[in-house]
Amino acid sequence: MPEIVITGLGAVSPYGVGVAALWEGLLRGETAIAPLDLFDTSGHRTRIGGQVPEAPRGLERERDAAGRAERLSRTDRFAIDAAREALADAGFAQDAPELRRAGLFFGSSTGGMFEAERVLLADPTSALARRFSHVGGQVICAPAIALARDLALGGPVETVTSACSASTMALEAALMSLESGEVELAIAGGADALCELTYSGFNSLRAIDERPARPFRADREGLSIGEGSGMLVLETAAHARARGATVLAVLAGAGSSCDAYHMTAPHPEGKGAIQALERALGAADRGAVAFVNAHGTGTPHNDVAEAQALRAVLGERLADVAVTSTKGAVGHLLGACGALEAVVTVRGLVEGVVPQTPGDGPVDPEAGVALVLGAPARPAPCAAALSTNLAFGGANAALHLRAAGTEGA
Amino acid sequence: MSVVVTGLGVVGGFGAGEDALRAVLASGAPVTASIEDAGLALDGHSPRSQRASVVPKDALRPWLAPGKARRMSPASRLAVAGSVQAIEAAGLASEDVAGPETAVSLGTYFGSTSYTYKLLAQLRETGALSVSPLLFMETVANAHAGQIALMLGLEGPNYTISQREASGALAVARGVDLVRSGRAQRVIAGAADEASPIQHVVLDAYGALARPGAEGVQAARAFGREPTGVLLSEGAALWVLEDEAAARGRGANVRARVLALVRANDATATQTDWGDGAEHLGASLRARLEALDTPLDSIDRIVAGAAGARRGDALELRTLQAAFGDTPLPPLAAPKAATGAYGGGELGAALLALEGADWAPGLWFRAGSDGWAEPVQEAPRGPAERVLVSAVAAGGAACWIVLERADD
Amino acid sequence: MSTPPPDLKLAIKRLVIERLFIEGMEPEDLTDEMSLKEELGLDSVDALELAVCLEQEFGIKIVGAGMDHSTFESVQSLADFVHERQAAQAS
Repeated sequence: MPEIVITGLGAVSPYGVGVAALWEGLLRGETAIAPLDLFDTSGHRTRIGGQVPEAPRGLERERDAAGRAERLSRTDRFAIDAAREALADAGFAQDAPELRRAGLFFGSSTGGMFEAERVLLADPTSALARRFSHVGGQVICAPAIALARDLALGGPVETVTSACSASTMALEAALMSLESGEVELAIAGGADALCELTYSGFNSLRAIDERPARPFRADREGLSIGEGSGMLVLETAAHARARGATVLAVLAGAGSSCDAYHMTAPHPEGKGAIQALERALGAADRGAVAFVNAHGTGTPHNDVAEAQALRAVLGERLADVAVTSTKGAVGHLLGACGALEAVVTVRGLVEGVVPQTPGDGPVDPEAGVALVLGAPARPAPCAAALSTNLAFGGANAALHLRAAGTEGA
Repeated sequence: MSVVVTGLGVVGGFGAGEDALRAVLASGAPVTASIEDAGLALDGHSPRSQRASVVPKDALRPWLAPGKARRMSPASRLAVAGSVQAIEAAGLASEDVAGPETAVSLGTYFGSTSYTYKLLAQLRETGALSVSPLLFMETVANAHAGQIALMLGLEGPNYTISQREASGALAVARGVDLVRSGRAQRVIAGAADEASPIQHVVLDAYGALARPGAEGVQAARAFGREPTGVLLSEGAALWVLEDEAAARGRGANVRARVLALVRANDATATQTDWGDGAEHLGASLRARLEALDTPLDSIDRIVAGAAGARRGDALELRTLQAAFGDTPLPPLAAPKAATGAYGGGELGAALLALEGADWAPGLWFRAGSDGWAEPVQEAPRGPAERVLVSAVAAGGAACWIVLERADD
Repeated sequence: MSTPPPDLKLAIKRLVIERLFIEGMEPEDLTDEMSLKEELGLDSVDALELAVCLEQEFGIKIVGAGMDHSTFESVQSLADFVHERQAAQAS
């Protein structure tokens, strides 16, 4: 099977547009979770989240490259900005002929729901009569369609909507299509925007903390919701070599599973997460894993279940493996978190640096992970990393990434 | 490695089970109810569409007891009942499928619109603090696939794919990939969609739905020169996909072999409409099938997703013509006029087409030029060797699956 | 503390049956002492749903994620809880 590599990264996050803003924000160690003003939170249980600064707040009329008008939602915008950055990072022009056969594997949980709910939350009868396009056009796959159109992609297009594992599984789907030879080039990732549906929904489950989330800390009380996009360019190693592309990392494996335990609570021993991790690692040397980008939502249940899973997979070595979570910094990006976290993980392998988790307070001894605190970690060697996501409905997914230069390992 | 289909579960407005599907395809006319009787009326709205095809009350009971469905949205109930039916049809017991070797790959166009609408109504009318956790859990689009896994103990990969009209086919294709890549030994793959009042109102306002004609009769017809619009429907259709060696090893009834998968995108499409990319889509289909050693002239039936949307049907037909080129199109069926536009009925129909079920002539078409086609006088009879299942979605995504008869 | 009035318990029974989609059960079938977990198969998410219902219906505030499991043991324990909260909020 061909080796699959990552050659471009793009991101939009509560730190701003671009991977640089995200990475620098993470390394500064200050959380981007703050009071929201995207919608009125005064009637909600909580007030804060990870909001992308200065992003459009409603459908924007845009002319695409061919001069055709489109109405882009906030989520569409995030996806397009991140994808364009990733393509440029990979050295592709926007009208590169290879895009004609490239695939798009995309994850989202609510698509353009922010715009759709503006209509449905207003007086329903008159609003609906006037603004159906806001509702009907904002299905979950709408951002993928907008993106495929923006980039003139002609290969497979598929939107995975497996909640918090959506974009991780989109990456797995991309890996399958690349390994089977269906495509040589793929753009994979995800996007989600804040909306009152998910904000009030997670609050109804009492899952959101009033304070910024503190993954793996002893005093954690819940998650923070964020928004944004992560997009990656993936190709076969041969395709990358042939065009002289810089390889950022190797996507060595991806695995997914289902807890089949409960619709919202994770399996307490992380049974499904163990499976996803084992599948991602395959026969690879677990000893080479230098760090883990955990799902780490900051809920009491998730973090301890996940730590158990990591212990089961990495054994005694877990104590030596740096564990980080971006969710205390940017929040839980729902369908986009897997891809955004993959971007952070790849960047980490490139630089040999693992961002710290913001805030203070002791690590939960029951979790017992070597959480990166206070300053970034610099594991050496830094040859491989894992990124995990554990979703609603028990859908788990994990990625195994290796540093560039380990191709053929 | 070869992937085969060993079971089918279907529910729809036509009822539940293969025989009910066979009957509606034989009659060629959908089973519909008035919008009021279908439970789709919405205060303050007078849609033009007057009829819809909804699953009859109690139709799911043989596969899903009401007590077990307590926390399921309508979409989840359809998905679970269809899956249980499919497993039984495949001759598998629950002990056989529970565990990490069985995956789920479910396509859904809309997810649970009824629950989403109710949740937003709570937000609007009684505020964020009144939002129901039980409703929220089921507005998450992967809830339905999650409920299937929970009911049957399926611990393999759990995919939910949403890509408009191509959702079901893409989910099946992804399911095939899961088996081929060794990620699962068997997959429950297909589609599920519920019909809801808000969905009916929105689709009707878009002009997407068929409405009564001059004589007061509402009928969705595919490939027509005059657009009819589509029939709103709900349902679920699930295939059991298995590694062929494993299926034969356990003495399963192998209904079809999946020979080829093709996925492509028409980037000229907008988010809500079909584009004009027939040449590109057709060329992609042709090139991929040639690369997979599945020549187009070996196809003897096409089961299209055309449902009465003028631009969609025309694009699909032009795409098929572009792919086949000089080779005349084999008999071309569009079952959604009978099964309805949503709920995966076409996935069930595709398997039956391979096995040679007799369908009403009105569901078979002879292509003209220019993106339209006429119904034939006489329907083709008998089984087929190879069926091409076609799905061309608004927004641009397209997916084709070639099924081959496998009674060797 | 005074005992909760019967109409409070009846209202709670209606909420349990309607909001948790318990089919084929009437309020009179649901006794005050029945274990909601053991006999109706309710779990933590059902408890969260009931929390929302109780807040909305009776105007009380239930704070935090770590709600006491014993509160949701039975109709009786729920009624005691609501009654006590109403009294506390009134004072």
